Amino acid sequence: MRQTLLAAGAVLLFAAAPAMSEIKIGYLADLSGATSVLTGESGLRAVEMAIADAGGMINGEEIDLLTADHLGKPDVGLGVAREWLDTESVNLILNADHSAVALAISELIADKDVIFLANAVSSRMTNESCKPNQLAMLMDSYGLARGITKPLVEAGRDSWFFIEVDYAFGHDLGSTGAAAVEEAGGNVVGSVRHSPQTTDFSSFLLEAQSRGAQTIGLATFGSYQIAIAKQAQEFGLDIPLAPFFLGITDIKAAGLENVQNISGAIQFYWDYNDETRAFAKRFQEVYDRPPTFTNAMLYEFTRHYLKAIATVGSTDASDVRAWMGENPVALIDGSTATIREDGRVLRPMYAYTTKTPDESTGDWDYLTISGSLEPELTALPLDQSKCALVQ
Amino acid sequence: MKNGMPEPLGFTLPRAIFFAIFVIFVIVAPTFLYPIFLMKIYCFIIFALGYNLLLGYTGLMSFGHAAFFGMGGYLCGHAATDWGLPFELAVLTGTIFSTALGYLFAKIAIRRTGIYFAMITLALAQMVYFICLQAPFTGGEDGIQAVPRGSILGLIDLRNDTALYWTMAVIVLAMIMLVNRIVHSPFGQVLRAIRNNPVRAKSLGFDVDRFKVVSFALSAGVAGFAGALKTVIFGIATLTDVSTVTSTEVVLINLVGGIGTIFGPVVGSFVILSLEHFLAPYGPWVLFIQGIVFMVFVLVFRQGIVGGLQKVLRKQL
Repeated sequence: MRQTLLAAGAVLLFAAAPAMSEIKIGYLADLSGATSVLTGESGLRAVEMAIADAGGMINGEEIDLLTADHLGKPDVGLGVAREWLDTESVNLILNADHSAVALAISELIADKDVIFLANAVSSRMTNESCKPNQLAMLMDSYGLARGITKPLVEAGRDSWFFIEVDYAFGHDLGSTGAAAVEEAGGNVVGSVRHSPQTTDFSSFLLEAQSRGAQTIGLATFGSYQIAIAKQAQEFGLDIPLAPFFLGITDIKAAGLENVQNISGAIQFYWDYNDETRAFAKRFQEVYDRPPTFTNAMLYEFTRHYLKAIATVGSTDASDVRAWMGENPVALIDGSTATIREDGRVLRPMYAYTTKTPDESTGDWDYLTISGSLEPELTALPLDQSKCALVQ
Repeated sequence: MKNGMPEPLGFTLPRAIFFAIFVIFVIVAPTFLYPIFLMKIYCFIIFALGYNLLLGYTGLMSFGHAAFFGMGGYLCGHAATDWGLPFELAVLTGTIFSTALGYLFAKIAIRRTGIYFAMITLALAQMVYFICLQAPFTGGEDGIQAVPRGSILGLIDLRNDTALYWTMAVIVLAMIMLVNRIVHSPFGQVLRAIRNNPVRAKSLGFDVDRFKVVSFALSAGVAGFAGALKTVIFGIATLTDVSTVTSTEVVLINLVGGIGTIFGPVVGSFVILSLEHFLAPYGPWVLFIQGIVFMVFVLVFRQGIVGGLQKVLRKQL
């Protein structure tokens, strides 16, 4: 009797031991709405590439990839994530490329055994709303605002005018950008807010001109940037624009002739060096265009995560998170990034100028990279952070 | 009271049977469906019940009900987070605010009928959306996050999903009974008279406008209550709930379920939200299939599922 009990105890112990169970990755993204062009399905392909590169399994355990569309609705995204945690016990949640969705999931995962990569531009992800197992690789509004303004001010373009989209994201981007301009010795001659319904930006452009701005900062995104760029072109406005959130897909949509000679900073460009070109070539075998910066990040992050669980030998979120922070993240371009305690991945940004249609050799050949920006320039200094993990 | 049959709480035998089936479903459902998903459906059932009160039983088409649903959620979230109110008072705050907002909307909108009425509600709802986007307390596009669930009178801890599920189950069943009672009361009869022929109702001496306003405010209050509960369940209140997408969703739910039936909103919510839930992995197909469903119902199946069933059974459901 006693022996049976002991045996039963041993079996129970064995079952409870933290053996590596199936590895589950949940990819939650906007697959149908505004940001689906930039990330969506192409991001999923990048994650699949990272999994395939790891051989589809880690330490003999299959990697299972789940996918869902949050439809831009926080309750849908939160519902899916919650169900993944409760019934599938996912180990990693990727993307959530929508601020409200990401913030909602952030609260959900606070005490759960899961790693969460939040690809939202809200600076709250690594600031007020930071969590021990939550990471952010995408440049947040703080980094974008500074990474784009400071180098240009230092290059001598010191009077700025901002056009902001009239909600929290735009206000944040505009005010951080203005502060960075002033910090670098430039001055802000004015700013306007456009409502999300605006389609005619001509009065804003004229106002910028009459105030003698040398650069117009576009603290807005997507179709608004494109509309502003096109209208500036139609007016023959000779003030250079500085968009904060321009991806190669936006340039493709706008047409290069409408956005030529624009300077800014980007987090990844496929035609940067041999490594990135090789990656882009492989990527184009599974998707019909070169990778965008979000695609590249998803690949790099997933690869780093898989390396972490392979080395740690378990999917325990806090152990894996610790390993990920202690070891450098290998980036596609051959350089490395590090992860701070607040969850921010410190990676360089590239300063770029868009080509003219004559310089471009064809589709997707859009940027001339002129240098890179140190991550310290774009990350919020920890002593200004409101993140509870670094207090 | 046709045929002299008693109708306790407005339940005829067929309706009582339907209700009993739903009660059994509510009890066994959590064993095979995800409870949080079920709770979300229950919220939408309550929302749709409120909407049906207006569209189905008073004959007024509103395109702006998301304003009440969303504001109920925002007020509840704000009350629970910033004012530190307990669960009951937070939900009550949302409900009262939405009722008041509904009263205000109705006062303006009932001056016109038909398409003009619908357009006024849409315009007012867009104004509410804009306020939610800009007002500091709503958190703009980030919404109100981390709303505490709290407990019922300090007795039942709602942070536990199971406790919350049974609370929601009781609430949704009570709401069906309440709406059924309202619809099959003398007040509900007047509403239906107004729906069928407002001129005749007026000539019979009823103050049509007043009944419309009360019906609208009641409907808005129920929608606000649903929104507040949704905020409690998910712990968030966001722009989605005040957007036109939500306004159309509730119309779609009623259309699919059956406008002017007690159980239409129940069936409709299950169909529409299941589509959204189970098709989530297929991305854009959700919207595509919702569009197809809408067209099919409008073109060939205008009474909706429960409406169709009603015709087959020849009983009022």
